[in-house]
Amino acid sequence: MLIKRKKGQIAFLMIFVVAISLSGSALLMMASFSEDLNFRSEEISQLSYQAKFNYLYVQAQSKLILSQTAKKCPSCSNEQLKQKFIEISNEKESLFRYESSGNFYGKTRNGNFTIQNNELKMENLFVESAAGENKIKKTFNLILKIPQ
Amino acid sequence: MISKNRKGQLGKIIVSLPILILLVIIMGAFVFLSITFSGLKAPAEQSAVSLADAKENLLLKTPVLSVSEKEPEEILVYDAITLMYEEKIKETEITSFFQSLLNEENNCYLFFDSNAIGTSNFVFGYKYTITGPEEILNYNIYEEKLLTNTIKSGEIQREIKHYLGPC
Repeated sequence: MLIKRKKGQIAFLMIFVVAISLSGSALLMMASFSEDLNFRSEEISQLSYQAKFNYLYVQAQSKLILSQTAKKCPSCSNEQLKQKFIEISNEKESLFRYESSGNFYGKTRNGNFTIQNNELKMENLFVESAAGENKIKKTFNLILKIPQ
Repeated sequence: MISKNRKGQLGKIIVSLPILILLVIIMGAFVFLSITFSGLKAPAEQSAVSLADAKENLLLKTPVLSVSEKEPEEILVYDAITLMYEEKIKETEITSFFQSLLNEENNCYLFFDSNAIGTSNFVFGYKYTITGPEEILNYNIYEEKLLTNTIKSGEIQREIKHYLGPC
């Protein structure tokens, strides 16, 4: 009878031991959880900004080159405008090449764009931004009206 | 027999009551500790970089500047700063363009450079007033509004922080 009672107490005590060890391990997990949530969020925020900036940079740069092309070559044919665009773009690339401008300068250097019906079209452009393991790649087409 | 059984059950309940109370105390302690831990670990509130602001980005403005004393032409501020570090554009030309951007809407601009002297890396900052641009002295309050970009050119690599918009 006494032994039976003792066995019952051991089982009951085991519940405590298990409950306390589970609570302890849960608290330990919470305490040891990585604290760098703040850092990650800042990094990702900067990554998105950088991707957006790179995209806007390519847009702004191509607009600028196109307006300079139109100014320097007001009565040129489409082919002449294209050559002038390539020339100005090459000048800019040799003077200051923005590394995160993706394949923009490659496309212009190789003449992978069209100038037709008063419009410049450049397809499959991309810009990238990376931070650690994270990377954002944005692919887009550029269509710009030639300023008169 | 039935009443004996019931008495037995009642006895069990009475015996296990202090244990239940102990359990509740332990659970309470657990909840208290977990709230304390989560309070300690709560990430501080921070302002996300506004993507909408990217369009009003200071670095994407197009001043007319003279590169290496050639005929002046339009250039992106980002490229102008790169050339300024290469000493092909004068700093004064860029700053005077920044001053010209100030108006009643965008009445503040600030510029920081990782290579600048001092711990704050502050280079310059001005705000619009009726009498003319006024230098910003308490630039620390704009920290959350700053946008960060890296300038890379050959061996030059600098991190710049900048802001153009309402004060």
